[in-house]
Amino acid sequence: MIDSIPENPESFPRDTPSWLSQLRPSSASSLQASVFYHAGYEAARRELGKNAWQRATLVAVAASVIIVTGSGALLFTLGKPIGLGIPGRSVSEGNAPAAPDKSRELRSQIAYAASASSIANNNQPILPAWLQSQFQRALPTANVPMNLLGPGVELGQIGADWDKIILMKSPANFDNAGNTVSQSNQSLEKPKPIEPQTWRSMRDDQIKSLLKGLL
Amino acid sequence: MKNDQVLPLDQLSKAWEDFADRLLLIARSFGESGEDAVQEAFMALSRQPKMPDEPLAWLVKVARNQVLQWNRSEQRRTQRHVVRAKDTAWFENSEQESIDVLDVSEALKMLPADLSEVVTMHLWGQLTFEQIADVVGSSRSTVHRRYSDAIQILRQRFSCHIER
Repeated sequence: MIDSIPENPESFPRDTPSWLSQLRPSSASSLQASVFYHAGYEAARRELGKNAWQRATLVAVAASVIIVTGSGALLFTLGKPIGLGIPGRSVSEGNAPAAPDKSRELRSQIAYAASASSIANNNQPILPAWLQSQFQRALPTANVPMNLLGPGVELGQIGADWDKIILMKSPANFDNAGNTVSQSNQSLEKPKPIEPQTWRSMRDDQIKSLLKGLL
Repeated sequence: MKNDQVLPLDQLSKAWEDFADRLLLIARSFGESGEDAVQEAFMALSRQPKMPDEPLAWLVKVARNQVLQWNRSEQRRTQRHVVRAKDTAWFENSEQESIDVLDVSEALKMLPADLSEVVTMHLWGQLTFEQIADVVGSSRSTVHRRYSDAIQILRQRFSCHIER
């Protein structure tokens, strides 16, 4: 019989089995990329003065931010939000793109972010399984290697020199070597790396300023 | 009215680091939509101008309310296509070999919802009974009674396997 109400989390009722209280919650990392993708989009949208996600989509400006807290890495991927759906919508509802051609672009971007964040997370993919399966269905037409999404990411394909922090400016698609293909398809532009320590040392307002300057 | 105030990303990141695992465990006790509720809660947090005074309790409350709202929505239920492993462990593997975390997870799922949520919030979420009472809208004594009942059920369930 428990006859007292402890308020100190350390003093559980005396008949709480210790083996039970010693269990530790499993990791929520599978949700991490999705949460910060949407949070980053939302932050950028507000910072850039877009008052509706539809408008942000139309002006084709967005930023996704994935913060891999486990490694302390911060990954920014800038790109066009085409087909994003409604940011903040729950993961199970997905972000079903409206236009097939534009959706490929979106999938490329997220696939790229997923692969990069996987690298930052010791090569373990941190996207939810359902989202990975969506990508895998879409990838044959998205010009992104499927093996970027699974365990054992091939680092060489996207360039080991990119390190954990990768910055991209308005990419369209990515070829198999990890290069970006510009929208006009006239040139290949490799994503510009930013040194990790640079990102880590930047204040929030500096990051926002940089985001603005890149658009 | 336009609201440009959002939570700084470093604070959001810190909150994720500090609370995400515990919130997910607690949210799982709310039902199958627990993972989605975690995302919704953190999205709601990201839209706050400043960190709430009791961040985890705040996140739990938002997640729980979200699940309740979904449960009331037939449309939401029919649209859900959550792909999840059939057996999801709510805990890291225990150092104690006699404990199967999947069994414990299953036992928590089998508890009545009002007991399961209280025991996860208090035992692993480390919320006080006062905070839990606020989240679930019950009295502190009711919450404590539910906790005691839950513990009793779990002890009986695992009494054959675990020596105290």
